[in-house]
Amino acid sequence: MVAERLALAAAIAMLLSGCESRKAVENRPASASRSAASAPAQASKPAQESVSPREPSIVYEREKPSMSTAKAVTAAPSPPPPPPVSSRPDEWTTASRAPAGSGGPPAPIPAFEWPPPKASEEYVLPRSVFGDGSRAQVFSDIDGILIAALNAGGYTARSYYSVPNGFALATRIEQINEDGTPKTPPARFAIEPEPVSILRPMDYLKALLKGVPGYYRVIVFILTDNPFQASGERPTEAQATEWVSSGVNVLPRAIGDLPFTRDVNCTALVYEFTRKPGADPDATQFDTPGRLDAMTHLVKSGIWRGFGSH
Amino acid sequence: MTDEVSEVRLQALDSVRTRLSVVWVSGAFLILLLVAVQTLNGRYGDHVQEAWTWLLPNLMPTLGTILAGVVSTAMDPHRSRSVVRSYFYLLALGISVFYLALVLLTILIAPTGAGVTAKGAVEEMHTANLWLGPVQGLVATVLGVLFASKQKRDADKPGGETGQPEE
Repeated sequence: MVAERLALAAAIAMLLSGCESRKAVENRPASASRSAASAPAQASKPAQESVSPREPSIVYEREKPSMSTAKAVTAAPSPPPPPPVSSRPDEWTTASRAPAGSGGPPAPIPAFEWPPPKASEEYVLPRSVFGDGSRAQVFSDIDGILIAALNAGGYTARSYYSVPNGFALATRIEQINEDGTPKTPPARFAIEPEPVSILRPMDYLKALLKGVPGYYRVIVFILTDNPFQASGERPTEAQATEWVSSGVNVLPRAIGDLPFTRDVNCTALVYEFTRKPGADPDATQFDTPGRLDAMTHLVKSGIWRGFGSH
Repeated sequence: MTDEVSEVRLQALDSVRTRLSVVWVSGAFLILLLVAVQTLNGRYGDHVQEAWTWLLPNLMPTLGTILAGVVSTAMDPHRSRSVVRSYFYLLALGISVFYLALVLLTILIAPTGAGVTAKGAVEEMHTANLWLGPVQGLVATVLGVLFASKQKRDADKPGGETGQPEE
């Protein structure tokens, strides 16, 4: 009697386990069922996509050792949600708009102050500067054009930051002449004003009687599809000097792979500083509006010529 | 004037004083004018006080000694009989010109180096005190002998060399 009851219980248990497996098969995703149904017709597809009706396309794994629980895990991982963009320049954020399926976590890159600090002058570069639009471009293509132009102008030091849906490229602060042309090295990237030679009598007399004023410039290129207004706080010379050293040295791939669509614009923000003749080297004033317009700065700096040679 | 015995060339003290005071007054005023123009143009910015604090002690004491000696004899109708050896006169003249040139050079050379800024110019002025101080001492010694010492007067000489005609 007891043995008969035990045998009956075992049979019932086996029957129940069989019913659960049948239910799991019936509840599998429709794609899996479609792929299972079309498997014989699509024999050329990779093996991972061909599924026989008896083999489910979902993977089961045990959640607990004591219980056999079916937990469906999709084969393809969903793209991560876009991370929030910080407005503080000292916060590192992940690259914005990381394309789906890029693989791996986006490279960390500091965020440029947003909206950008108030500029002395700004200029939206025409799209023709970056090509005729005959082929699809990505941000890394534009970065290459910017780098070539900066190299043509002698701007070897630069720094990258992230901005909403794009990036910022900052140059090193440089000393310029009154007409916007850069001073000859080593005075170009020095903060101290350049001594005057006696062999230039007029300049020497001016320096002797009035002193030498100092003119400084930083150019920041911002590539984004977000319209913006550079309405942040006025930067100091010390802050502008830090821009070239606080970012990353190369454009992360996650940003470089972003498409250069028709909504994307490249804006050149020019920050000008002036030091009066009798002022100390660290006592500069931010010029707004600038003494020269942005296009003059781009031309005199040699960057515009670099665009033309592209 | 020449002493026929020793063949030592001598010069009248009044003549020596005149020439040295012309050199000193013109040189000092030129330097003062230059720094005044620089100050009005803002050359020294916030360091104006420091620039003038350096300049005035380097010129005014010696200038004051010279002018005091000149003033003391301004109303004296008698010509001095004192003489000065030419060698000493040339020495005093040379040291005076050398000193004034050092002061002027400190200002002129500033734009060609670190003194292109106001702060740098003032720092160079302070550095120049290293050699201006000792040279100024030499100048004071030499000019003090010429301008501050007692002089022989010609009033005792009958029909002597005075500014008044003989009666």
